[in-house]
Amino acid sequence: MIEVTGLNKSYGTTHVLKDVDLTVARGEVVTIIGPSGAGKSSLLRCLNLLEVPDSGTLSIDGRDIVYTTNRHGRLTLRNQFALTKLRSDVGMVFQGFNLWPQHTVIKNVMEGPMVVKGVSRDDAKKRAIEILDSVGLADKSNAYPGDLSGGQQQRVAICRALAMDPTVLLFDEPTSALDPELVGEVLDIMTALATGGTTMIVVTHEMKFAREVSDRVVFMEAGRIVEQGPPSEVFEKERIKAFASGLSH
Amino acid sequence: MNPDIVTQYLPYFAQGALVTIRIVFTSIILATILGYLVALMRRSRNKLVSGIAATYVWVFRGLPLLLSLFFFYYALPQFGIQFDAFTAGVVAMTLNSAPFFSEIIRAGLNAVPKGQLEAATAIGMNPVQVALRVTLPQTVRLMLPPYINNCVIMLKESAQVAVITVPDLMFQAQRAYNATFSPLETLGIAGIFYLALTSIVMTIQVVVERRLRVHPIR
Repeated sequence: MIEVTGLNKSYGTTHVLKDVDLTVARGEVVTIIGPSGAGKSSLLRCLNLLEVPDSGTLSIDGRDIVYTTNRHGRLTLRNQFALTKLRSDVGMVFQGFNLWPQHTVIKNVMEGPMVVKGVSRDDAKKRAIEILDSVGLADKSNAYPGDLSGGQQQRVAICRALAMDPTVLLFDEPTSALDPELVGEVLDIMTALATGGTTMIVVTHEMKFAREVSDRVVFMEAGRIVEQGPPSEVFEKERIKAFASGLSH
Repeated sequence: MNPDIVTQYLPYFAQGALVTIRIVFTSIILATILGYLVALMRRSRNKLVSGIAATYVWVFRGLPLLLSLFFFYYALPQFGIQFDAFTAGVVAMTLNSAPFFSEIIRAGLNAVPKGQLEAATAIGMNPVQVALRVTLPQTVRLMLPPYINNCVIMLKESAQVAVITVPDLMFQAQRAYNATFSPLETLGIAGIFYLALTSIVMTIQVVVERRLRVHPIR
């Protein structure tokens, strides 16, 4: 469903992704773990072209993604328009929530379907209420993001991504900006999505989530995928044990 | 206070006020467009493009409006370019005000958090949709107070176009004063007209600000 081969990415002289290959099957939940600066987020952000790889091939849902850059290393304008279809199929949840503060909660969820997919206001609203209800936030529909806690904001951000009916959901350290007591409510929703069969790629430092929820754990270090496999196997490796225990101490 | 003078010259004041409104409104529109372009140019990665914009801002922000007015009305004909007084006034006011608008717009554009733009891009909005749905609504909120402030300044400054014979409110007031030597009935009335015009602009600001309540993100 997602196939990445030979992905390279540099920022200036720093080579952050070195010939990365990654395949994700439909319905699979993959967590990407590893030390800071390993290239986890960069890899994730390359999947919907928020970062533009220097080289490598990318195919999602059987379609090859073509990208061309201008001399500043950014996508050409034509590409920025052409990639909107891919991006509308790939949901993303950010570390910093990134909700739009000028809109109410429900408008944040309705915005994507209405603007990008041309869904009618009534249909978008109906669907938004359903989704918000499923994460227990229906009563916050008319609140503004600024009035919510971090955990609530992240749950809204997940709803916003879900409203697009994406084929895959990308999570970029979704709980790293949260107070410890708020992490659970977000992880609960992610766990529910995972067991419901959503294809997910999650960059995280939550080892418990990686161990218990994911089908496969990918361990990255210095721009390379060093280990990958089922959590039961990966967490037995000495290097990963050392890394994971370093996190929990 | 001689009410006869007031009634005699009131139609001229009204005419002059209309000219003032026309010249200010035209200049605000043009200066906003030019200011937006200059703001975009200054954000360009191309050194030449941003350099031209920065130089323009530096020069025209630093020159008095009166000097620009004289230049475009009296000096340009020597180079074979002849503007009528109204056009020269619009050109001078536009070029002198656009740098201020460009600074206001630039500050607004820089203030939208990058993450919100990324979220819009990630959900599949194209660059035009991102600009219209995310950047614009937020920059408008941020820019409105300084923007209106600048409009009020332009409205007041426009009185200077009288010196290049644009028949605006100030021009009519001066003419009436020269004919009557009654400052209160002529300049005083013009003052009331100006105050009324600036009050309208400031009322618009209050109304719009109330409708666009800002909701800060935590």
